[in-house]
This record gives sequence, C-alpha cells and structure tokens, in this order.
Amino acid sequence: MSDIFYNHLISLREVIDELNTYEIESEEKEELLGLIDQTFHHHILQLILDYLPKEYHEIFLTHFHQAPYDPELLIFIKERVVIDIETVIKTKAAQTKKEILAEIKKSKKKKR
Amino acid sequence: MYNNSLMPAKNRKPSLDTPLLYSKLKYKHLLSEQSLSQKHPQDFQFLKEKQLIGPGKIREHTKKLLASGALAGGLLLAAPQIGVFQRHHTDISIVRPQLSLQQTLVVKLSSLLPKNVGPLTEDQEKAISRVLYQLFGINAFPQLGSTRLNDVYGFIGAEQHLPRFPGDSVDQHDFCREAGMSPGLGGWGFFAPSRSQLTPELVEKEAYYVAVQTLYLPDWQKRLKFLVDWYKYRKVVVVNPINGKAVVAVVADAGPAKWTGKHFGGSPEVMASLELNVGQQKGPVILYFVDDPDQKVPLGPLEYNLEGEPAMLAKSSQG
Repeated sequence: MSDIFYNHLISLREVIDELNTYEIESEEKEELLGLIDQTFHHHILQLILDYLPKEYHEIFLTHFHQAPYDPELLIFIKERVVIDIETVIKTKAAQTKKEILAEIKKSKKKKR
Repeated sequence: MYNNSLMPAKNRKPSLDTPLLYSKLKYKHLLSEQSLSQKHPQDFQFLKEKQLIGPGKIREHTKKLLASGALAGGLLLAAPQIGVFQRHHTDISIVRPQLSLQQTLVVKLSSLLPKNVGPLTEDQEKAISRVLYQLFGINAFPQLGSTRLNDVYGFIGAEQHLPRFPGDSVDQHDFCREAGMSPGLGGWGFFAPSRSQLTPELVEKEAYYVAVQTLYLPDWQKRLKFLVDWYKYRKVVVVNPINGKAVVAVVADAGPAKWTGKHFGGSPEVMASLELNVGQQKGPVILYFVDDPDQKVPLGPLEYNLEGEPAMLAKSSQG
C-alpha cells in the first residue's frame, strides 16, 4: 500500500490476510486491494474535509498532493479540528473494514 | 508454485467468487466516491485534476513523488537518502530526501518565478504561498484583505539602522554597527519615546525591519489613515530565491524611491540574514505579508528542523 499520512490508523492487514486464505490470482488480488484502498481513501478524506474548516481545505489538499506521506498533515488537521480526528478515522476505518470483510466472506464459493 | 487443483482436497484453499466480490467492492467504491464528490465538490474536483481519485491513483502518485524527490536531490548534488523499506507488503516507511531547507526552497521557487524580476501571475503568487506554508508552516500572502503592495517580487537594497529613541546612536546597537545610522527617523518615528521604554520586542523590530514603497500605492492618499496604521510594524517574510535564505521582519520605514531601481529596503540584520550584505548590497527577493494574528511567528531568520516540530521555527540568530 502507498504510504499515506494516515496509514497507521487504517491497517488493512486483516483484509489482506482474509484474501490470502482464498485461492485467488495475484493480479485479481491486486485489483481488489486497489479498490479497497481507494474506498478507504475516499472515506478518510471525506471525514477530514467534513471536520476541517473550509478555509484550510485548499492548503491541506495542496500539501497532500505534494507530500501525501507527510506526518505534518495529521498535525495540521489536529490543530484545526475540534474533535479527536485520529479516533474518528480509526472508527470509520474499522467500520469500513468490517463491511469489506463481510463482503469477502459472503463471496466465498459454496462447495458443490 | 503449487497447482491448487493437484493438491489433496484437504490442503486446497477455498475459492472466491471473484467477479461477484469485485462488483460489490466496485459498488462500494463508487458510493464512497459519489459521497465525497457530493459533499465536497470543489475539493473533489481538485483531487480529480491532480489524479488522486481512482483505484491505485494515490499509490502511483506517491511513487512518482519519491522518484522526483530523488531527482531533486541529484540535481543539487546533495546526497539524497530516499529509502523505501518494505517490512510487510502493507507497511512501507519513507525517509524523506535530506535536502536542506534552502536547497528545497531554491528548487521550488526556480520552477515558479519568471526569468526576470517583475510582476507575478495570480497562480504564481498562490503557489509561492503554498511553498512557504509547506516549508515553514507560515501563512504568507501577497495580499491581506484588500491591501497589497505594488511589488512582491523585486529588488531589495541595504538600509541603515533606524534611531529607536531620542538620543540613540549606532554604538548602542548590538549588531552590524558598520552599517551606520540613518540620519532620519523611520516611517513611524521613534520606536520608543525614551531609552527606558525600549522593550526587547521593539529592539527586535528595529533589527528586523524593511522599508516598503507605501508612498506609491494607488490608494495611499485615499485610505491614508487606515493604511498608516495597517502597515505599521506589519509582519512580512522576505525570501532570497537565489540562495533560499528567508527572514521574518516588520515594516518600519517607507521607501526606497523608484529611481533607485529598488523596491524594498532591508535593515542591516535583514540583509545579513539574506546574505545580501556584501558587494552591491542589492538582490532580488520575494516579500509577502505574514498572516499571524496570534503573533506566533517570531522575527529573524527562518529555520526549519526536519526532525523537529513541524511548525515554523524562526529565531533571531544574528551575530
């Protein structure tokens, strides 16, 4: 996975481990993980933009574009939001992960 | 590699209905994208333009950045140290390129500034604000509210020390005495009515001051009272794009005259910070207002510690 500043809050380890329990081509797995990764990305970005005051959006997104891995981004957000953004991200990530794990399990082929 | 079909049944991994899972995940992905675009349409547009939306896009982007970081390091003949250590396939840590702050600033500004000193486009001005925020953590702009200078990218020339109180002399200044004392007062008179009322803050203001051409502002006469107050000790950042040196100062004088070919004046300490205190004592600089309502940005040379606090670190280290 790419190293994004909030990666440590949204570990996809369980999702990867779950996919690894199935017989699946590595390219297919890559494709599925790409979708999952980006879905997380949308959710987390939306959360951040929901809480971050509008006047800081441009500077945040510009910096994010320039250095998505920069830990200062999280500090920048934390200094400007009134909630505990790390906990909110973790909670959202856990919920998304739960839904995705459920979808994977439901897609298991039934034995004939 | 084992062929799953040749393995004993009990060792075989279960199969997935991959097309079904793909369509479900794709649906979730589209819903999340739609939600983001509806809630934050402008931000979404920006992300889309920067190609940060779409499966795998953010990963590709990060890889590109790492590659360009290596290139910038190479160009400056600094030893770039970009290391990507793969501990697991989900856990990558990055050591950022060890360019000095000045080198980074020079590289960034060189791609933004026009060849010759002169007016900047709105896009160039905004991009410079972003660079200054990114590197120093300061909010610096060419315009604050409705107020802006005629020039933001111009030549700065050396000024002398300003008298801080009645009876002040160059011998009473701590640094750069060789620059001498201005025969006249600064644009706002003495900094303090007497020596005993001169605070350390006022000493710093005189040490790190600039002169700007308020007299040529088109609205100077029209809004005189407002602008006189507004410019008094207005905080600015001055950047030398040739060597990447930057300093935070205040406006404390008006000038220089147009005929000099210069657009700004710098105190002896400001010029030393920019390393423009030699030869002609003149050079191109960018001068932006610092938006600092809480007075958190101290005056003096700007420094940035990559390993330290992310916030801007500025300190008076003039000697």
